[in-house]
Amino acid sequence: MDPVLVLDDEPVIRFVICEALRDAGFEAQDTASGQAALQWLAQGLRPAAVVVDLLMPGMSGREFLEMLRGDPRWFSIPVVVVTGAELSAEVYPAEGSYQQLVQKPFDLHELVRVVEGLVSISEA
Amino acid sequence: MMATSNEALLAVKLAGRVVIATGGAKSMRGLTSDELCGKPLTSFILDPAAVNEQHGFVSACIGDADGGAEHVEMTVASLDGLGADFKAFALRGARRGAQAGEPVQENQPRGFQALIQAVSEYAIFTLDAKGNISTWNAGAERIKGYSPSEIIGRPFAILYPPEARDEKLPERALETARREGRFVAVAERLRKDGTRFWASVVLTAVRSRSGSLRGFTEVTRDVTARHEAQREREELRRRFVQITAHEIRNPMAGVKGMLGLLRGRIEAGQPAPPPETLLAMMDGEVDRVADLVDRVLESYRVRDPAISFEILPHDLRDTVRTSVEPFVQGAVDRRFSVILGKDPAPVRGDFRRLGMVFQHLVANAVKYSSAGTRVGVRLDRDGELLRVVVTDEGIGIPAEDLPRVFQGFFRASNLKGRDPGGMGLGLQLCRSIVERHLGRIWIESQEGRGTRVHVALPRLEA
Repeated sequence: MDPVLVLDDEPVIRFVICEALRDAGFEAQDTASGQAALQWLAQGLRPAAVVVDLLMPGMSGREFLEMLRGDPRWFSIPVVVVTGAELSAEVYPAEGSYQQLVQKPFDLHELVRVVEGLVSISEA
Repeated sequence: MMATSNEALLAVKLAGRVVIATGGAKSMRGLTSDELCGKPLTSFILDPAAVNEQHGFVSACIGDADGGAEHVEMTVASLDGLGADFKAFALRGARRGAQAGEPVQENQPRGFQALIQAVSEYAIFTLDAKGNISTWNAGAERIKGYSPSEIIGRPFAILYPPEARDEKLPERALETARREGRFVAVAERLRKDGTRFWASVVLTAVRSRSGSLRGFTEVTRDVTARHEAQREREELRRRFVQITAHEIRNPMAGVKGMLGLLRGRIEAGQPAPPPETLLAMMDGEVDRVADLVDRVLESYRVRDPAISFEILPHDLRDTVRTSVEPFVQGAVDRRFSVILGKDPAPVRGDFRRLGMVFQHLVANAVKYSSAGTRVGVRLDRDGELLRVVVTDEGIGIPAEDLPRVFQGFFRASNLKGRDPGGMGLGLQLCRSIVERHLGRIWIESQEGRGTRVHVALPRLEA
């Protein structure tokens, strides 16, 4: 099964999301940086879905999504944006570059259900 | 103040009390200006209806000093733009009273015009019924840049920016004033030189006794400074909400996530993560929120003169060394160069708070630079001052952002949605602390090249 890629600079949040996804039967892989995530993708990683934070040091979530959606190989990977930011034009990712947006602090099981829903659509 | 014997001007403010009275009032009423000022208008004008008149022409009875009464023509102008409840009453004795149908300016005594003409803080001008400018005071010339000869006779629409003219806003303003008596707005207006300013505008229709429209008066104030200050406050509030939301939601999401994970495992009868992992993580997240509250409070505390600093003589080299050491010894991948010199660096100051300044500056130097670059800290004597300079080779600060970096919750524009972490309060805190020590802090920076922060503090003379 393809893993769900969890991209957030907050270690605790990465930990709980990955653990909850594993509890639900997913495989999960996590990283704190957009650059590392893009490298994995370039090396052939095919995630079932991506869970991504917006405000991160280095590459922002929006910049990551621009790179992701700019490449036809990665175009159909479902994306859940998870953010604690008040959304402004500066941080808001482009429309259509993600499927769902979840505000922090989130209900962990709700987040897992969102990922399950998106993965089932993309597998169908 | 010019006034002929049968003309008087009264300016009324504050619940109908006279604040200015011209000499003509004496011959009409037998009271000097000093005697009239501060008195309610009703002690002079006997008709209550006339006193309550907002604008226009009315006749009224005024009482004289001997208990007699005289009939006068009054022009009442509402000068809302001058402040709340400010009205001018221009009176003309009925013996040589104006005929109905005279143009508006001629119905006003010269004293009134002299008063209006002299006001320089406000632009006060009149328009004819078609919206062409007919009088123009000193304030209008100062604020808008046109001399009376350049502007009288021209449509007042030329004071509007082009896009407002395209939207027919001048016509709509006149229409509103015509229909409702007045038009009030805060909007952009154009100066003669083409520059724009924010104006608080009150446009009032002036009608004759018969109700026909004679023209308009407009009072304009330049409120650019107030407007800018308000925009700045709104921007600060927006940034505060943006940053606190992010900084509080993240640790909360961590704790809530841990609890959710734990609950899920218990419900499924699965083993929970090791308690020490859970506790350490939740502890860390709660501490982050507590730290955040502390930082916000500290940034207000250091600006509060009622909060005392613990001012003691000490050597600034110790302060700098103590605050910089954790970075140098830590696992931070920067090439540190710390030069504090051999000479004593005596200061009087709050050791802990001055330490916070250098911690923040070095933390910033690390935060905004990449691995392997140089971070320098150097202390020198500069005459009667001690100067500490913290240098980095990081992303720098765009020139247009430099004036605002000492404001709270500020984020430089070259961060572009990237999260540098923290509240954006560090430099504001540094400046407050340095200024409480009678020192100065300033920044030089080149975008893409690096930043140099200078802190100068008075050297304690032996």
